[in-house]
Amino acid sequence: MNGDAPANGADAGISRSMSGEAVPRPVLKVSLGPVSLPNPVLTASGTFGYGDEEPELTGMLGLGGIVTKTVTLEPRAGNAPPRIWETPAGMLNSIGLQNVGVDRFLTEKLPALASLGVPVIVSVGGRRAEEYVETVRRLQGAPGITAFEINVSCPNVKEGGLEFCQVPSAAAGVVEAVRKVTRLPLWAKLSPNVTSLGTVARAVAEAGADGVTVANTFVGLCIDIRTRRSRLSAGSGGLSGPAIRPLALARVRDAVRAVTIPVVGCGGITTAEDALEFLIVGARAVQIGTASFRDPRAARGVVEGIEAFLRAEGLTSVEALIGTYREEV
Amino acid sequence: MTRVGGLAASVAPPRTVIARVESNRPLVPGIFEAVLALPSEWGPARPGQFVQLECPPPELFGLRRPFSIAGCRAVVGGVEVRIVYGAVGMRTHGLAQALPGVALRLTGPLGRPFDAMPERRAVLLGGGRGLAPVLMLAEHLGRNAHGAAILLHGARTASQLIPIPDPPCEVRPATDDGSAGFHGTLVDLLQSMSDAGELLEGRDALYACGPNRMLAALAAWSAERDLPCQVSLETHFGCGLGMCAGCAVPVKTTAGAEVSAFERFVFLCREGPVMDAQRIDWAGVHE
Repeated sequence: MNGDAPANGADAGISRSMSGEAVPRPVLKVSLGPVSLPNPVLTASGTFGYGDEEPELTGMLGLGGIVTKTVTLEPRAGNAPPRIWETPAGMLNSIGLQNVGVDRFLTEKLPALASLGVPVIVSVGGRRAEEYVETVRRLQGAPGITAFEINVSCPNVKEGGLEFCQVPSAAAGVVEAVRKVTRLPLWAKLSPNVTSLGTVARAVAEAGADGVTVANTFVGLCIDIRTRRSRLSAGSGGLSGPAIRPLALARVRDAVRAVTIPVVGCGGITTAEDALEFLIVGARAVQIGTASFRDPRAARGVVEGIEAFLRAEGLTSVEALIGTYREEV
Repeated sequence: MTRVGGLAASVAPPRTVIARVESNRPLVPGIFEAVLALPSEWGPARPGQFVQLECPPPELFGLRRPFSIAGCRAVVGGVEVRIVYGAVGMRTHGLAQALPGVALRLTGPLGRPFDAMPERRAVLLGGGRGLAPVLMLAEHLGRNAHGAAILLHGARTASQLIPIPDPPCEVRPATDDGSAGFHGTLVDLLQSMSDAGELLEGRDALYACGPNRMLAALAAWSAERDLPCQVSLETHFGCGLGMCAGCAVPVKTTAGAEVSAFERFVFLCREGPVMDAQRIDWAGVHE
């Protein structure tokens, strides 16, 4: 982490205000139940590969955590191209969980990821509850895993994925089964494509989840009017990016109202101002996804922007801001 | 990637920098050339590599676009990079409007360059705006004097043929409608050269960039011949950095080999954009 801290008074955690008096550096550290993060900004699953980019290019060493691309029991080829299509202020994707599988992840990806000194949250997917269980069982003894994010919401796979969230008891069933094989913290990544996200959040919380990530992508469709075919080979895809941000924020608010476990906000966050909205509504951390595609240092910029905002507002910690949404009109 | 000293011997680490538009002009209707000024620590770039470039308007959220590098040279106070692009969508139309002085974020150089084979004569094929990276390769080969390269340069019609003011080697144009040069596609031109004994298996190597349809035809044509063929392919990129898994290209599996499902697709931003034409499963490549 050398060289990553701001130069001004960083060593002592002290900086100078405009008038020259020493003011403490705002504390960015957050705790999410059993999980402690150096700051509330993570990368969203599937948007940062396996964190094997050059740290200089991505600024990953200053992040609160890296959520990995979803790992499944067996390697997956993913969907045929085209897999992505840009939309106004967003993008559709149907990657289809292409990944190396848990065994190669353990030997080829995790060691380098764990050595970065940034908390690693491993995203786990599967077709059936048993696959999640077996994947987590193989992972959970490995060094360097801070928590698991249980992906019960991928819109781009034929089996499992989104359908878990559409039946709250099914999503809860996966969490309950995984809970039995690991003591590591479990977050459930929920789908926004449901009638009541709060109901699903309550179900997974009761099943033993330590947190919920809200939310995955919205199901979307784009058509080539010339060929009358979908822009994506898989048909529909998942919409992400700033286009969905207000939708995601409203769902984060719903989740915060529904459960007492920590909520991680995710959906179209591009700037520190965006992230602050989610924190104010009650998310205890945020994930940056599509914005990293446009600027691989976007998440790092969000960390710096949050710190600058706290200073400007005279707040001593990010905790002082979380959940300060004034709902009365 | 280390065959030719000075050509693909090393690949510079990618950097994100601010690029300033120096000039931006149409070469032929719908195809533009932008010259970008970058800081001196950037690059150098190899023929076939690409950049991820922010396209205007910056206030409207959008993914960056990948552009093959058409030229890269050190100049006083920095590095000058040229790209040749078609104005085809909202972002590239936006780029075509960018005036000198506009600042755009750029990451590069990225991807695998052409891997020139010094023991073979280079036959380069540039279709449409695909001319850019192979012309850059021709310039490098010319300088390094690895035999007398020949550049086949194709377009739909004469008005779409990008001018080459200072050709580094022999250039043979071809147009689909016969309005300039050879009448037919670049693969038709290759066939005619082969028929005339101008193309020698075991001695020549092919390097190509152009529409995927052209590259697929070239791959099929060269498959049964002793003519190694490298192609610079195009697909939709999300990030250009290997993070999004969006730029999947299907590849052939070796007959009988036990491979993981994960090996069915490679990411073009990392394994390409230049790939061995015979490695690609062309049936699964979209146009």
